[in-house]
Amino acid sequence: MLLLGMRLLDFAIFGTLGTLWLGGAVFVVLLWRWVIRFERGDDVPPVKPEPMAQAVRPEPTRPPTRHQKPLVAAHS
Amino acid sequence: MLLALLDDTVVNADAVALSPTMGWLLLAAAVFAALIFIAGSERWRRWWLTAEDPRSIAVFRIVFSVFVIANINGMWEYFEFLYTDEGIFPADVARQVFASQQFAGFGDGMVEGEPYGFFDAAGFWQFLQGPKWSLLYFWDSPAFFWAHLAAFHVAAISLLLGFRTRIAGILTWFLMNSILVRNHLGWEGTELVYRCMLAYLILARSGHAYSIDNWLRCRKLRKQGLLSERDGPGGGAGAPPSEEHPKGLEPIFRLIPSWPRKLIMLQLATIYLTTGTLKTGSVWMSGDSLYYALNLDHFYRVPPQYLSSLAGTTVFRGMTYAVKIGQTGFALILIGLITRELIKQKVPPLSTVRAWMMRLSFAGLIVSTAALGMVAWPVHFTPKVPAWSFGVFWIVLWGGIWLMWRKLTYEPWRVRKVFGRSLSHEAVLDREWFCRWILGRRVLLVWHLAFHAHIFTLMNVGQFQTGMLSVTFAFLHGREIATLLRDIGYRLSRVGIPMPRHAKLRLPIIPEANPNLKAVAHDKARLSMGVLLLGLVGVLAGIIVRVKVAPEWDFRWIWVATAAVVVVFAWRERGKAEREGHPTAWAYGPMGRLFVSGLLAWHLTAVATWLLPDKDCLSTFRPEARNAFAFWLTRTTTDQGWGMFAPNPPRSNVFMKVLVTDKEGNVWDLRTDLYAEEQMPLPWIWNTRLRKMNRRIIGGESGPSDWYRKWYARYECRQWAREHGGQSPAKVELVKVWYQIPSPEQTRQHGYYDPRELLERTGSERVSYTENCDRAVMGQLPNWIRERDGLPLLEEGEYRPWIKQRHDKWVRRHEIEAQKKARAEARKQAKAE
Repeated sequence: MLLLGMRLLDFAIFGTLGTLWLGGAVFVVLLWRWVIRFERGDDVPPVKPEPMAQAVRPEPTRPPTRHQKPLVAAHS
Repeated sequence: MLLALLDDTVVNADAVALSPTMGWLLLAAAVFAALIFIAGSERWRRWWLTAEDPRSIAVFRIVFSVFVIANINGMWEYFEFLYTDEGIFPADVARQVFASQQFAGFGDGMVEGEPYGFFDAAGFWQFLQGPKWSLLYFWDSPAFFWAHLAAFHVAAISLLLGFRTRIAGILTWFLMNSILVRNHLGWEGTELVYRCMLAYLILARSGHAYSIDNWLRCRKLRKQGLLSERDGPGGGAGAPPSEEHPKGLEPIFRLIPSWPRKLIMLQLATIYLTTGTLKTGSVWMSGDSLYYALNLDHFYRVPPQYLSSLAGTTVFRGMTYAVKIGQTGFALILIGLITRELIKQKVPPLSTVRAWMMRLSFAGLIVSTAALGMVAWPVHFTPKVPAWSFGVFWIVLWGGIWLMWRKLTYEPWRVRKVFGRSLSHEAVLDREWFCRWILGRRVLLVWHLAFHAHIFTLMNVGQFQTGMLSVTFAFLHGREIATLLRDIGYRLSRVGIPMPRHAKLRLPIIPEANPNLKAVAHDKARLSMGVLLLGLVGVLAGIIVRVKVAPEWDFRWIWVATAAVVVVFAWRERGKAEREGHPTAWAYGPMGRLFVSGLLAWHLTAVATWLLPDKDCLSTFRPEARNAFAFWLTRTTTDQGWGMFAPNPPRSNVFMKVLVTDKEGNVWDLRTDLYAEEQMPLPWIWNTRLRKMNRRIIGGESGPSDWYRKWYARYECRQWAREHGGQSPAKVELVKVWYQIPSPEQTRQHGYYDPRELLERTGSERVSYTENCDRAVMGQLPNWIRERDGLPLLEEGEYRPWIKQRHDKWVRRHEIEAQKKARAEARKQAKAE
């Protein structure tokens, strides 16, 4: 220790910083895991505005085809 | 002339000559930027003017309020020194040195013919115009200060708890600034962060969630049977009128305007971008900034010297670049956030005209910014390549970004294999992915957290980090906050900590208010592109008139007239537009949107102009341009400057030593700085403003701060008398003590150094200021404090007050103004004849 020129204080500093780095890395990993899980399973479906009524052009009524029989005829 | 000779700033005449060209190019760039926003006006309003979940800003309110209180309380050792008549600046001195203009019409009552108080209504009006509205300029006895501090605490705690949130916020803002603007001696960058962010926070309806206000509201509604609850109709999000509930049900979390939260995000990005781009000095470029910053004795929590000797030339350099790049690039987070938000909102594509306008304006912006760089190239420290190569590089760079953006939008990359291994799902690297990862919060906010965590661990900068870190919450959405809190609650409940039912069972969160409820605006009113272009033309006309015509009247009237025309068009549009049908939940109706949108455009331009760097090549227009916005920014407490450790960090440790010589000729060292062992606790946990104040007084900070010295020396004269039976000392000397920090290479080569030993061996000392206590103005302890302390009183004439002759100056000023007016009138008449 003397040869390296290290003091007890240096051990304390390096120990604390090392722990903080490891703690920080674990925090980031847990945070990312949570973020990805959150994105996959957002358990509350977002409330979307209701679909707006769209102006639709009225389609012309199709003329009856030759093979179509009147409904009454079906029962007669 | 003499001042000019003494001023050691060397003006770069070549750069000054370029300044007008730079001004016009900057204006062109600003016009192109404005055109981009006009072409994409739908995007602008959907980003700024929508309503949102209140839970995000509510959490920010709670966390930030804690640190607002902590920041003020952090000055506790110096409350009386900084803010009372027993400190460095009694009220009359403070009025003169910090707010002389504002108090020009206010008398000290020290000489005959000058009463105490405002001379007339004009004097009071002058004070009301601000910007330093502090009660402590009027009353500053210790008793008043403590009452003021108590009032601040009550307001800030109310804001924290969300009780009468709106009024509590305004009071907190007023009382915090009332303390801070009374004395700037202890200010750090921290104060700017708190002033700006608090101003934005009080604009938000932050009391709509996690507050006593909302709890009381829900309780009342529940009793009346009008609240939508988790298990009832609407699930807490509110319900329209039905047979069962003819009045409908109110939501638990009402929607609030989102723009204050977005301003807070933008402010954080602005802080980083400004400080990142100002860090242009050689120490930053060589990667040694962290080494020097960490080896400043005034900052480190634990001795960094050994670590510096090992990592100073390697890891620290990497970390310095990570800071520089991270700060400059952080603002990209907003591009990611805005893009994702607009994709989510399904904003319709631009019309052909608007699309071409956007493309051309974007191209114009690239060309004008390239021209700015090329014009300024010869007068700056730049890489040794010709200016045109920068222009080509810039255009190619932005062209490349443009092309890549198109690719991400229309033909995204599809990845099926990574390192030869097949993926279970094909990954589509499109715009959404790019904004989530490369420009995403998960990367840039993690950088932000890591950056501040490192500073917080290694250095003690008071509540700067905590304030900046609390802004992180503004980057999260209400739903994310609610889910995160629930999930944390769920985890805690599993280790036996009691938690609410919904957290324990991990139930779905309560959604924010249903945007389809009647209370939310969905109108289709919008300003046409023509009106927006007219607005831009009006703004431009004002600037051109100011520069080319320089009229006697305020050119900003043109802006006011333009705004009036825009309001008239908006009013007409408001009547014509349909009430329902827009898919977006607006924060306000049409006129509210116009007002807020205009205010935002004004404020963003103001901040951008304010932050123009202080360079010679901008010197012919920068002061004038800043002047146009000075009133707004200083009164809203959003004036700002972020040159932290820029362009270079200091490379020496500076301390202040105070020597007092008593009447017997004994010299006493007051041991006021780190050269004295007891001032350097290790590890350093609780911050003190002493170190900053010492640097500011003795000249360890940038900017003109020499004038503090005489007032500090006079304070020490008075304080000595207070502590020694009323007996003044003979003189007070302020000594600058300093030593150079060895370079990173030296520390690596010779091993770590002991700062105290290095100071003794290599340090220098110089007496910077000497004050004779008997002769100095206000160098004697006045009788009102002697009476308070029960000390022997001074004889008549022994106390030397500071006579400012305010009343005479006020009268003379009025006379001069009247004469000027009369002369102008006469000239006008002569012209007419």
